Amino acid sequence: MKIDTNTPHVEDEWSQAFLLELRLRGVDGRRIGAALAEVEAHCAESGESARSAFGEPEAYAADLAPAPAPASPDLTRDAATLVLGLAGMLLTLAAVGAWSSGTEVELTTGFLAVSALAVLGTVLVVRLADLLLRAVVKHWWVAVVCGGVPLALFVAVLVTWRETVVSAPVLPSLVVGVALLAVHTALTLRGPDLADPVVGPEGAGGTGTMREDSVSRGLDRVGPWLFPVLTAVMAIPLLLL
Amino acid sequence: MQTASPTDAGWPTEWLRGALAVCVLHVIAGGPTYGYAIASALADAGLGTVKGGTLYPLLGRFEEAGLVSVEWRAGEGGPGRKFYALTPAGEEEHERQVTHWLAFADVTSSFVHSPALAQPSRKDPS
Repeated sequence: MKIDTNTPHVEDEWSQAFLLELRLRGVDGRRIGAALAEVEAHCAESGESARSAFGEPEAYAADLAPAPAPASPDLTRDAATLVLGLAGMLLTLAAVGAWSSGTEVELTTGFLAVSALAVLGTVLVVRLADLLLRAVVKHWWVAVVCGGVPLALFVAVLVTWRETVVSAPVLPSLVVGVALLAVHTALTLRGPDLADPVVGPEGAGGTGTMREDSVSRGLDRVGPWLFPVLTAVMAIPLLLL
Repeated sequence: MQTASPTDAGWPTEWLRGALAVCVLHVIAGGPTYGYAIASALADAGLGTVKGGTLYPLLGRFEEAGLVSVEWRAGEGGPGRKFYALTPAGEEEHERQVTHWLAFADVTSSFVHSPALAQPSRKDPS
């Protein structure tokens, strides 16, 4: 996804890495916008590239905001919410599948392994959040690998280990699954509004103000409902089969 | 001793680093001005090119210390310019630093003009 900060004289990859580094250092949106506008004004007038006038974006961000902010505790809360949503989705789907095939919900070794891996993966992502974000901005394929590899691994594990560990009746499983989804959505909706838009200074004619495209605005709104929606979409083929 | 690479005007970068604050304050003392104009004024004065990555963090520190006030003014079709002006505290600091720098330059100049002092020999006492 391209981030548009209305700074046409600054190289895209430079402004994106700069913005991310300032964000990770806990700098607020207005200061980020002001810094971007100043870089844009300088590059527009001098004809220099941002890299040649200001050096590496990470180093320049570190000059402007020397002390990195401590890791945000909200990240842990976000991770816990995510695990709830994931568990709710898997359990609900398992219950729907069992109901449509007239069996009990069977929790297989693969299902338990995937749940454990999902928790482990989430913890890893939270721990390495800064590192991962920086890597994704630098190399787009990191996002593909980080998204695709776990998904492929989960499917492989589910298909390989199919011995039943526990069976549970359909209705209670469905109730628990839907309840987990509801708790996930409620927590996400009630979570603090972390929006701190990147806004350029007044008088700079919108320079340094980050434009959000319709896709990212839409994703923001769908966010809390993502797992319920995904569950519903994936349950349809299970009911039809 | 190996010094850092000289600027394009030929001055060692450490020298410029020491003189930059007083020089930038001196440019702003001439009236409200903006980053690129400050860099151009320094280059015209013979100090060499001061990179944006050096100049703007310094201006930011002046702003935080209350030495300058800032104002964005719209440009024609461009992104506008951030103007810096000395506050009363900035004017005081400018005068203080200029006086101090001149005294330092005097001491350095008269020292390097004086005959080199004879150093005691450091030969091995063998």
